[in-house]
Amino acid sequence: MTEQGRLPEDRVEPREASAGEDEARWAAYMRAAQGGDGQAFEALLNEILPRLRSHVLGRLAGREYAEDVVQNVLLKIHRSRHTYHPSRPFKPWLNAVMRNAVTDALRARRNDWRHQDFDPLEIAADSSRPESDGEALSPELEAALSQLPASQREAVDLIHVQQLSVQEAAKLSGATAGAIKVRAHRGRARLREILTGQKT
Amino acid sequence: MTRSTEEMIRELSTELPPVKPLGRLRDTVIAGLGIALPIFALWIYNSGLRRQFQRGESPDAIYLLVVCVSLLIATGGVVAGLAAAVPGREVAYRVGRNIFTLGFALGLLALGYQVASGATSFMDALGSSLSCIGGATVLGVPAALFAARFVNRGEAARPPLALAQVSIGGVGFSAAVVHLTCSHPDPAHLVLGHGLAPLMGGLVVLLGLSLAFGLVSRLGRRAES
Repeated sequence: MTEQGRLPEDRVEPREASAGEDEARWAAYMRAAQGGDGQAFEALLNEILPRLRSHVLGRLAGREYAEDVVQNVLLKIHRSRHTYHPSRPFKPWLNAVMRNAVTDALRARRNDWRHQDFDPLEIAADSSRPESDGEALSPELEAALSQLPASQREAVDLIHVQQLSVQEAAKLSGATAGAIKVRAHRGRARLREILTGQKT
Repeated sequence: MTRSTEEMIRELSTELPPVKPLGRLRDTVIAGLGIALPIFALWIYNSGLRRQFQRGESPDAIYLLVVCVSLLIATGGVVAGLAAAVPGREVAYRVGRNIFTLGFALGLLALGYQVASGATSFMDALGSSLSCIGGATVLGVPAALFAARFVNRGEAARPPLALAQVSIGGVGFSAAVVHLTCSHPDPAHLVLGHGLAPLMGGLVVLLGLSLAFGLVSRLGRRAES
């Protein structure tokens, strides 16, 4: 670019410059993440988290529920990171993933009028705390767990009840770490549906 | 809850497997054409061009309209279906969808006009069109399959709709090829058997793709468990 064609730095709006820097840095993180760089992916998710929270909170009432949707979006970003093409701008991709996930959440919420802010894993965590002296899971949770598909039940049991790491759970179940995370997340969502249904 | 989101980020980032990015839309369209064009060329070589062209006569208006209808449906369907699978390509999706709708509306208008003019009964035209619709459907399978594989790898918000669009679009291109080689003189046949073949053939291809993908996914789940 010629000297004449370039905008003098002091005339660039700081906000625009910052947005441009974010775009370039996030795109670089995503390219690295596509190559398997976990640190870059973690940095990317941590940087977009405030933007993601603000986007979700702006559209959904209920902080707890919104945080759950935020987690769904993070999972979706993880699962669909191959759909970002390195030659394309990153933010439109991110916005589309966020928008689709929030739309899905709104649709699900409309269909599930009984939704309550209720985290089944808190029950699981309570039951498996050392101070509970190995006390068994509540019958309600055991019954709900038994209704999950085998693969989701195994993932929830290994990660959230036995509190193994994802890697340990993946090794024990013979699945990949990504598959275990997704199964555990789906199992947790299904558990919530089952237990919320029982509560109401 | 905040702590658990941050824990989740750490978990998602641990032992992150590398992924192969989905191809660019333009490259995918070019690759799809690369698969379809040799098949189309073989079909034209075997069937020969429409007799009108062999005699050096210029095509009439309805013939040209049907070419436009099939190409609009094909281009719009494939572009919309592929773009739907890639987050952030909403503009390409909307352009494709509008082209598709325009082609479809033109086809319906042409069909309505032909049927209303009463020159041929709808059932006669449909009967004579089945072989062309069948040919277009079979010819369109490779391109539709290629595009459907892309859609299946992508993250369409509504995967069945995206699959329908690429199926109809894929058959649209082959319908244009059948149109080049068919010598049937009846305008109603041209409109129904060639112009609207993408819709009917595409739905057949969609059914086949849905069954195939459903079967593959079920086998995958069984292998996983």
